[in-house]
Amino acid sequence: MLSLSRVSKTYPGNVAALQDVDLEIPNGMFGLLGPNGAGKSTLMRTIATLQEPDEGAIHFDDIDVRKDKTALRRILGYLPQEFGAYPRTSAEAMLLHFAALKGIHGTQRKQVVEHLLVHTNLWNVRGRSVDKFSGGMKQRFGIAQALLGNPKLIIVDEPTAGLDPAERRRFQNLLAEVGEDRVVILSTHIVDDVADLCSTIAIMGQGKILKGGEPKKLIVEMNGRLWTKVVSKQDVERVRTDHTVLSTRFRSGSTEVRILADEMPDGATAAVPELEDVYFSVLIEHGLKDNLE
Amino acid sequence: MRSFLEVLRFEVRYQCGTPFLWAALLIFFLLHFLSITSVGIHLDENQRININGAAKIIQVISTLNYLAMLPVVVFVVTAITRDYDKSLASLFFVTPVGKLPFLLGRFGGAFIAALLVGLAGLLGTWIGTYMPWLQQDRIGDYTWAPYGFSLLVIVLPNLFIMCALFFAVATLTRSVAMTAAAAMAIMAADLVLALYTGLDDLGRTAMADPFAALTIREATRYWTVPELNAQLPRGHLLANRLLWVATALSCLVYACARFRLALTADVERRRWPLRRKKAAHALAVRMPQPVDVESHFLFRDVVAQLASQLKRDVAGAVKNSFTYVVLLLGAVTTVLDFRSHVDSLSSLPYYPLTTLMLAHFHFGLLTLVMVMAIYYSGTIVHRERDSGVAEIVAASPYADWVMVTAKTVALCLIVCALLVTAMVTAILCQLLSGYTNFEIPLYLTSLFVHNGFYYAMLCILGVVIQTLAPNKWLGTLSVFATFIVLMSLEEFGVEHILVIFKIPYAIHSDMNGYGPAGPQILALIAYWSPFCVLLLVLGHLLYPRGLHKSLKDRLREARARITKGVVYVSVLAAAILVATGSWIFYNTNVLNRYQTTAQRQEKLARYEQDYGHYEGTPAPSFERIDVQVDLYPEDRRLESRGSALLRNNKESAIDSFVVSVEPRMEVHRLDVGSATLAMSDREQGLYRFEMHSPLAPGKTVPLAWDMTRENRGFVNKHHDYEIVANGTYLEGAAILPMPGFDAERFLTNDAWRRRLGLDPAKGLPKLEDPAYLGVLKFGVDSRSEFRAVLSTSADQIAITQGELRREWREGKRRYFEYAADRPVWPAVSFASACYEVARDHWNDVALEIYHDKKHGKNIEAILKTVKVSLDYLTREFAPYPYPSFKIIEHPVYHAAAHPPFGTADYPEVLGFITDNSRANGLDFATIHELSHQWWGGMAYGARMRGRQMLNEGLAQYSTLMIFKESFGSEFAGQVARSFQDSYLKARRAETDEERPLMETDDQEYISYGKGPLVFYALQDAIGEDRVNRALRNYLHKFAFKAAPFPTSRDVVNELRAVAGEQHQELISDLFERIILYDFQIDRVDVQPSGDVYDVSIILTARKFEADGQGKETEVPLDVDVDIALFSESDTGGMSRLPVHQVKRRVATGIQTITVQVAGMPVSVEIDPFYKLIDRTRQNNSMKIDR
Repeated sequence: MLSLSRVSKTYPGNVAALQDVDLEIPNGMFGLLGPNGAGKSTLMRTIATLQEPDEGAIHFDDIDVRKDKTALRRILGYLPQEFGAYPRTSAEAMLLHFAALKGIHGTQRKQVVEHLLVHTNLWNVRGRSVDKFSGGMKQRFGIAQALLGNPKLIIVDEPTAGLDPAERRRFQNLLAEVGEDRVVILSTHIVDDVADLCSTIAIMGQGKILKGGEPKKLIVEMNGRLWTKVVSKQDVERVRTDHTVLSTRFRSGSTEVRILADEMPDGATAAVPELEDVYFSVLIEHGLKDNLE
Repeated sequence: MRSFLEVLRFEVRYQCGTPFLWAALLIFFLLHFLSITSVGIHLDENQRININGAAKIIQVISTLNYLAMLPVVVFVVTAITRDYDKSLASLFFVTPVGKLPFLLGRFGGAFIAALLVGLAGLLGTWIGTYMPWLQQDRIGDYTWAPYGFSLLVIVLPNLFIMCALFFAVATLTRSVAMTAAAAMAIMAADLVLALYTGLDDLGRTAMADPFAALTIREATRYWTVPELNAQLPRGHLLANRLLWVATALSCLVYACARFRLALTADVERRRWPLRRKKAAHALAVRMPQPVDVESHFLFRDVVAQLASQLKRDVAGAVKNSFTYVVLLLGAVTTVLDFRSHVDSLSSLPYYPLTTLMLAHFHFGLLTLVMVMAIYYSGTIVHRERDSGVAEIVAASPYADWVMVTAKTVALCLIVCALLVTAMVTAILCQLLSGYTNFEIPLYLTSLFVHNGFYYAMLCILGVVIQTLAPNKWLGTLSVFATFIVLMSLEEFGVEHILVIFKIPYAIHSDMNGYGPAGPQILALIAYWSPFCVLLLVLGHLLYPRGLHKSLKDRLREARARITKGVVYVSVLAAAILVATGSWIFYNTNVLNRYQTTAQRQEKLARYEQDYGHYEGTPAPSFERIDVQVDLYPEDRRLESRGSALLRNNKESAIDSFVVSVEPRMEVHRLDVGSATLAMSDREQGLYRFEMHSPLAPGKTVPLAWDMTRENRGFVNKHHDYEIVANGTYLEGAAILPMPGFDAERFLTNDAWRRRLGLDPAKGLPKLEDPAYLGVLKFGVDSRSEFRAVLSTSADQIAITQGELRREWREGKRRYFEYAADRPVWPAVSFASACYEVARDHWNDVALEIYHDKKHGKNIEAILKTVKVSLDYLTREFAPYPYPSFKIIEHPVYHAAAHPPFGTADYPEVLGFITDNSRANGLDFATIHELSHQWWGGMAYGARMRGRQMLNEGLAQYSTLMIFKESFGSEFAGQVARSFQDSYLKARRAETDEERPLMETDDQEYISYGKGPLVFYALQDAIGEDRVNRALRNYLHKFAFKAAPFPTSRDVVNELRAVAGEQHQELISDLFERIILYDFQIDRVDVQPSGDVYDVSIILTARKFEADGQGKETEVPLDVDVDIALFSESDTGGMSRLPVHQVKRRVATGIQTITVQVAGMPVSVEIDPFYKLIDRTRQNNSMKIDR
C-alpha cells in the first residue's frame, strides 16, 4: 500500500507543481489521468525518490520514503517518460548493468535478464544497440528494466505515447500480467489505457487530485446525465452557450456533441457514459478545459 | 541565398546566446593579454625584442591560436549535431531549405563564432601592449601592421582551416567523439613536427604545419633583434597558407557534396549481427521463476555495483576513437623523445638508459594526460544525463558514493592506459636498440608513483569540477581553465608545496636515484592523498542524482548524504592531512628556511647593493692550502676545516680585505692572523678583516677555518644535490673560504634586476682594462700549493685533485690524502661515491676513471680518446704537465663538466653514455674536457671580455681539429655545421649586444659556437701548423706564469705574427668584427670538352658586417672559398665526398668560376664544409641538370 499525505512542491517562480496531494493506493493497477502540466510527472518523480517534496509524507508499507530512499529503491521499478541508453551498447548489456545496480549479482543476474528479454519479446534483438530500437521495442526495453528485481512498486510514466495500436495492446497486456500483487501506477493522458487496465484511478489537474475512485463507479454516477446530439457546424457555438458540452466529434460530415445535463436537451438522445466523459466533466468542473473547442 | 542568410543569422544568434561563447571570449582575451604582458604566462624568454614589436605580437597570437581548437570543435559540433541531439532533425529536414544553404549557413555561424574568439585574442594582445607596468624601453612605435598581418595571415586562415576540417569531420560522422579525435590528431601531428625536426627538414616542416607557427619560426630562425621588431615574416608563408586553405576548402566541398539531408550518418558504423542461432535455444529455456531478490547489499554487492558502473564507463572510452588517437600520440612522442637523447656537442645518441626516459614521463606526458582529463572528465561524469539514462539510474538502489568513485576510477584507468602505452613503447624502443637492462621497477615507480599520483590528482580534480558544472561543455571549459591556473601558480609567486597541488618533478640519477627529493615526494603523496579523499567526499555530496536540479535541491541532497560513514572518512582524512601537512611544514619551514624565488632574488640584490663596492678590491691570494674534509654521506653532512697561507701579490699594501664563504656553510671559526674581524654577514657569507698593520707586498698571513654544512629533513624546492648518499660533488669554492669578493653571484637577468631596483648587469670589464689584468676569480691571482685529507664512509672513495699519497681506515671511516706536486689554481673539486676505478697509462701519465659501476660501457672508448688527444695536444702545443689525469663521474644533478687541474669532472650524462660507434669510438666531450688542461689550465684568461675565447673557444677548436685528423674534412664539416646553427640561432636571443669573438662577454654561443669556426677558418687560410705554432708561442709566454694574465688580444697578436701580410685583414674580420657571408649559386653550365668537363659556375657573393644589435652593412668581399663538385646526390649525411674541390678567390658581386673535372658532376656546392658563416644555406648548392 502506497500512501501520500499532503505532498506539496513549489518550483522557483512560485509555480505550484503539487498542492496537498493525498492518495491511498493499494495493490493493483492505479491510473493517474490528467492533462499536460497537471503535475503527473512531478508526482511520479517524487514517489520514485527522484525529487524531494517541500512538504508531506510518503509511505510504502512500512517504509518512510522520504527518510529511507534506498529502501524504496530496492523494491521500485521506474519507467520514465523519456529515457535513453548508453550509445552503442546492446540491450542485454544495458539490462545486465541495470540489474547490477539493482543489487542482482552472480548467475542470478544473467538468468533474470534472459527471462525478461524473452518475456518482453526482445530476445532476438538483445545484441542490438538500444539507440537503434524502434519505438515499441524501446518501450518494451523500458518495462523490462523496470521489472528487474521483482519490484513491489512499479511507476510507469506516459508509456504508450507514440506506440502503434498493436504495440499498445501488447504493452497493456504486459502491464496487466504484472499488476496482480504489486502496486502499479500508470500515469497517462490517454484515457483508453486507464479505462481498460486500472482498477482505481485519480484525475489530476493543476497539481491537485480532482477526483478519485473506481472507473466503473464513476461511470455509473454519470448514468442518465449524458446526452448526444447531432448538429451542423454553425450550430455548435449556440449549443455551447446553452449547455455543458463535454466534447465534440466529427462523424461522417456532421458534428456529434456530447452534453452533460440533468435533463434531456432538445434533439438529444441519451448516451452511455464512458470514462473519457467523466474525465472531461471533471476538468470542466475545475475550469481546466475550455468549454469551447 | 535568402535561406542561407536565414540559417546563418539564426546560427549566429544561437551561438551568441550560449554562455560557452562568452566564456571562451573572455578566456581568450585573458590568455592573450597575460601572454603579451608576460604576467603569469611566459611564451619565450627573449628579453630583447620589443613587446609591441612585430615578432612578439605574432608569436603570442600564433602560439595561442592552437588553443582555439577547443572552442572551434564545440562551435562546429553543436552547429551540426544539435538537431540530432534535440530530435529536431526530422522537423528541420522537411523544410524547403536546400542542402547547401543549410550547411553553409551552419558553417558560417560556427566560423563567425570562432572569428569572434580570435578577435578577442587580438584585442587582448593590443590592449596588453598599453599596460603601464611594462618595460618602457621595450615599447617601440605602435603600428597596425603586425595586427593586420596576424589577422590576415594567422587568425583568419587558421580559424578557417580549423573550422573547415572539423566541420567536414563532424558533417560526415555526426559524432562529437570523432571530431574531437580529429582535433587531437591534428594537434598531435603538429606537436610532433614542432619538437622533432632536424636541420635538414626545416623547409618541409614549414610547409607541413597547417597553422603556420613553424613556418614563421623557420622564416625568422636567424633574424636579429631589429629584424624581429620591424619586419614581417615571409619565407614559405604564402605557399603554406595557400596550400592549407585550399586543402581545407576541398575538405569542406567534399563534405558538402557527400552530406545528405537525412537522419542516418553518412559514415555508417558496424551493426551488431543478429544472433539467430540462439533463437531456438531460447524457446527451450525454461523460464525461471521471478527471482526472489531480497537484495542483500552486503559489501561485495556494492563492489559489484561499482564494478558494473566502472565497466560501463571504461567501455565508453574504449569505443571512442579519441582514446586511440591519444594513445597513439603517447607512443609517438615517446619514440621521438627516445630518439632525441643525443649529446649536445657531438649530436651522437646516448645509450638508451631508462633514466633518460623519465623526464618525458613527466613533461611529455603531462599535456596528454591533461587533455584526456579535460575531455573524459566531461564525457564520463555527464554520461548518464547526456544519454538519457539518468532517471532510471537514479531510481536504482545504489549508494550515492558508488557513482563518483566509479567515475574517478574509470578516468584514472584511462590515464593508466596512456602510461602503460608509454612504458611499453619505451621498452620496445630499448629492445629494438639492443638494450635489455629495462629496470622495470624504475619505470613503474616513475610512471605510477612519482607521476601517476600527480595525474590521479588531476583526474580527481577534473571529476569533482565536472560534478559541479551544469553541463558537459561548461564543465570542460572550467576544467581547462582550472588546469591553466594551476600551471601558472608558480609564476604568480605561489610556490609552497603545501599549496600548489602538484607532485613536483624530481631529477633521477643513475648514481643516486631521486636523492633528497625522494622523502619530499613521499611526504607530498601522503599529504595530497587525504586531500583528494576530501575532494571526493565533496564530489560525492554534490553529485547530481537524476536530472538537473536547483541549487537548493542539490544542497539539500548534499546535507542528506552526510552519513556517519562520510563524517568518519572526512574527519580521518582531515586528521591525516593536518598531520602530514604539519610534518611537511616542519621540514620546509622549521628545520629549514623557506624562501620564495622572489626572496632569493632579493637577497642576491641586497648582496650586490650592500657589498658590490668590494668587487675588485685587492686581497691576498692562496699560496698554500691545507684542508681536511670529512664527509658523512648517509647524514648528508660535511665538515671542512683547515689552514691556508695568503700572500699579497699586489704592488701595494693591503689594509683590509674580504673573504667569501658559500652562504650554506655554517662557520664555526674563521680567523686571519694579525687581523680583526671587522664585519661579518653570516647570511650572505661575507667577512671583512682589518689588518693590525698593513700587509706589505710579498708578505703572507695565515687563514684558518672550521665550517660545516648539514642537511636536515627536506626543503620546499632547492634541494641540496651536492651532498647526497652516493655521488657527493662540490666545487672547492663551496666549502673553502675564498679570499676576495664573489662577483659571480650577481643576478644576470636584466628583467629581474630591473624589478629589484638594480641597474642592468655590467658585464665583464673591457678588453685590456689594466685594472683586471691581474684578476681571475674572487681575489685569486696566483697558484697555490694544495694538500687535502678527505674522509668518507667505508664503502666510498673520496677524491680531489692531486696525487694520492696515502689511504687508510679508522673505524667505519676511510681516509685519503692528496697533494698536488706543483702549485695549481685553487679551483678544486671534491667528490665521494661508490666508484669503480679503471686504470691505464699514457707514456708516464697515469690515467684513472672513477665511475659508477652501471656506466662502464664506454671506458675503453674514453681511454682511447684520452690517449689520442694526449698525442695530438702534446705534439702540437705543450707537454701534459701533471703525473696523472683523472676522470671523475658525478650525478646528473649538476649537469656541467669541470676541468680542475689534472682532472675532468663529468656528469653521468657526458661521455659515459654516449654511443660512440658512429664516431669510431672517439668521445667528443672527453677531447674537449682534456684540452681544457691546456686552454684554461696552463693559462687562464684575465677577468675581462674575451676570456672565454681562451678556454672554451680554443677547447672547441682543438676538439674539431682532432676529429678532423681522425675522420676527415666531411665529418669536421658536419660538426662545424652544428656550431654554425647554434651560433646563428642564438643571436636572436641576445639580451644585450653581440660582440666579436675577441671580446666575447662570456657569451656562450659566441665562445662555443663561433669560436671554433673562427680558428677553423683561419687554419684553412694560413695552415694548421701556423695557427698551432702561434698557440704554442702563446702558451710558452703565459703557461704557469703569474700576473699579468693572458687576454684574447695576446692570442690574436701571436696569430698576426705568424700570418703573412695578406691575412691580416682576415684576422681582423674573424676576431675583431662580426662578419657574415652570403653565397648564392645562380647557374651552372657544363660543357663537355674532350674527355673532361668544363664546369662554369655563376655565383653571387656578398659580405656583411653586423653591429652589436644585428644591423648589417655590406662591405667588400675578397676571400678564398672552397667550391666542391659532387658525383653522388646530396645525402646530407657524414659521408659525402667531393669528386673535385678547389679553393678560389671570390669577390663581391656576380662572378664566374670555371673548373675542369673528369667525371660528370651531379651537384655543386660552395663552402661545403661550413667554414664561413652564412645565414642562408639553401642557395649554396645546386643540382646540375643533365
